[in-house]
Amino acid sequence: MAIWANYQRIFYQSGILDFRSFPTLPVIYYMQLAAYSFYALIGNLGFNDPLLFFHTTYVVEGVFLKLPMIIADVGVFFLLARSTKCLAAALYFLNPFMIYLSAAWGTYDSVMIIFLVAGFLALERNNEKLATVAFSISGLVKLFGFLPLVLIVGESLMRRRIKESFLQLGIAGSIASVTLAPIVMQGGQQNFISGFILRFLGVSGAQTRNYSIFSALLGTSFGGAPPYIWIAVIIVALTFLVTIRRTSSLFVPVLLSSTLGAIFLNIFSQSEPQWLSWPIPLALMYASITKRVGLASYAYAFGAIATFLTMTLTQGTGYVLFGLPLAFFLGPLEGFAGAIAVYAVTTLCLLLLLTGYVLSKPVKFKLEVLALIVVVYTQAYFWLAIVGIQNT
Amino acid sequence: MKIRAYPILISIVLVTSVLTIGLRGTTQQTTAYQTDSLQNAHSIQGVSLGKVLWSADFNATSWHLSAPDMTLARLQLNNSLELNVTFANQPIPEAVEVSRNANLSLDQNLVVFAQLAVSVGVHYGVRFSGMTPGGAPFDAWRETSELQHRPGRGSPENITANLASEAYLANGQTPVPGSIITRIWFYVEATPGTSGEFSMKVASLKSLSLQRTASDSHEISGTLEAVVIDLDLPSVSQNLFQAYVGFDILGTSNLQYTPFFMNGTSVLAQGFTYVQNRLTTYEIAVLLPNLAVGFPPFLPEANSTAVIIVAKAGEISFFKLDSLSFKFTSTPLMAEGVVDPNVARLTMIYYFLFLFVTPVAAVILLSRAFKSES
Repeated sequence: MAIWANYQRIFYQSGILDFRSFPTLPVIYYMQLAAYSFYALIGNLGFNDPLLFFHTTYVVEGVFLKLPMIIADVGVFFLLARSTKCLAAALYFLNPFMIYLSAAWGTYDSVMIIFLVAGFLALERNNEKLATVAFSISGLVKLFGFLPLVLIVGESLMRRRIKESFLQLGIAGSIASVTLAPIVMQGGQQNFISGFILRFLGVSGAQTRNYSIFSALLGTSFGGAPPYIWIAVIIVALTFLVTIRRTSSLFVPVLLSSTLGAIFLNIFSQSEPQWLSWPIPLALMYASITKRVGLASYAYAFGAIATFLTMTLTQGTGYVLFGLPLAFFLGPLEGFAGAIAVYAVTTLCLLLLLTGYVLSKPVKFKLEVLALIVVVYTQAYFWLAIVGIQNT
Repeated sequence: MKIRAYPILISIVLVTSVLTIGLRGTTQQTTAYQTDSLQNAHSIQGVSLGKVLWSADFNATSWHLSAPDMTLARLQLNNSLELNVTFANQPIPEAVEVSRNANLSLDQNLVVFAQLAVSVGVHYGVRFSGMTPGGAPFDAWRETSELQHRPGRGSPENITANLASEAYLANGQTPVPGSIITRIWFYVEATPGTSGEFSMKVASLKSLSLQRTASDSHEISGTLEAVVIDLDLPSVSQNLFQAYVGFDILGTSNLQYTPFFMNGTSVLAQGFTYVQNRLTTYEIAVLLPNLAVGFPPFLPEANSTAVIIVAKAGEISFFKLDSLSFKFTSTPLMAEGVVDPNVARLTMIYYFLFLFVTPVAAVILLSRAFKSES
């Protein structure tokens, strides 16, 4: 939130539009410029915004900064509800994790998700061009959105529909050019490549710890994504190749591969906590079309548990509530040594269970699953936080 | 009446576009500030190791051995120092130390370099102490330094210590001019329950001067331990939020470096540790106040503001500064603060109701309300 606020304040106070050091893809910058304009207007009219506790953003300012994400969540609800996926719509919109990310923390994953969902709904209606547009925008919000687009283009090439694949690449390239042009015009392409693109290829110069199971247990720093990211890529490619042979429709193979992609990128890549939101809408849509109520229920439970884990083990309650990263209000549940390792192990368990629900025959959701996760959490807590086996 | 989505969407886009363009740079409240500071970089200096000013002799008269009663220790001095220690299984930690006198001036900005090998299973460290011109003794080591309690690896290691920097970090103040380091200690320590024979072999111990080479452009070459970018920044009333340094860098294959933003001897911000990129020489480093936990391996000048790129491993052979910008904020990220416990409790309860209870209850109620008749 501090980063969003700083870039918007500098634009509306000093007139500086800074794409050279903006730390991520610029779509969210554009959207926040639009949303923040109303805040700038009321500020110019004399509105005095209070600062609450130790937050880095003012109260109303924070609402305007989060507005694109909150509107995106509402949009996903309407998109899913309109396409008769009412259960999926409700389970997404009322998912604690989506509420936490968009309304409390202020991450922009839901902006990527709305275009991702729009793309899949277009694909379901066999409107590949609209799907290409939606996936391109989604990918320009967060790179994960490009995954289904790559599969669609790959399928066109596999079936030797060269003209179609060129059209898809042309649409994606045009949208990307327009979106990224301001970065190039400001001479920020070197920063963009070194500071952003190389991070996701695992060849960034900055050695950072991340939340993946490998980093948490081995204590290793990586130059962005760990080298294991290619395992996730191979799993997605294999899933797509196997499923596309069984059907003439693109929708289910792309959806299934993307769902598994979202799951395995959370295991084999940087595994940022907010990335746990990616499998939720995809699993809900997959559950809807394959009539898996168990999977839909588990996706909801997955979100609720992910909220608890992210809130206590990666952020700390003090950060979201009071703006204090080192203040912990839930006693032994947060701020302990080994918290990231406990988080990594428990989320790994959650993700593997989700894989089971996606790949196995339809099964009912049972409360025993929650008990199983509690067992994994407590075991991880004992061995990694109390005994500290990863430190020996 | 049918609601037409496209006209509404176009109207929203138009209104927000007009507001965004029209309100650009108009807000009076000053809560953020950004400066492009490339023109404020008034000199770039390369820091490299200079000539050897002192080299320790390894003769029996110079070194003093000190060991607890229950520990058998043997010191051999023959062009190198070899300390063999037999630790008995004890319920308390044990340490054996060897020390010698020295006369190393802190005014000369000296780096002590030692090449040594210590057995696996014990820890070791090196300590310094000195004297001010007024005769007041001082320590030039601290418990949390990387030079203390290092695990023995069983293979040769090189360790370096900047004496002025160590003295500053140990005492929280720059050394009094004319102060000298008068004694150097090496120790081998064992945790409770450790038993067996262990050794420490010091093959070389010397001190070298640190020399600075200034460049009249934004680039510098050499065999550099660090690059210092001296800045002449205007004073800002706000707090530092982020600093971005863009540069081209080349170095030895094992080069690892960390950027620091310093005001005198205060670390205002620090970056991540970077390795030399295989695909490009260009790097954009972000420096954040909340990452500032380290310290450069030499003492920066007291009245200077500088970005310092420090080679943690390997050496920098080429550096060219491309861009430099600083972002400031009136609402910095605070690590700690006091919140009234009652307010905290009530907020937590509301938070859990908002985040978990309300949505879960709504989902359960909705699923029951729309349950299929069949």
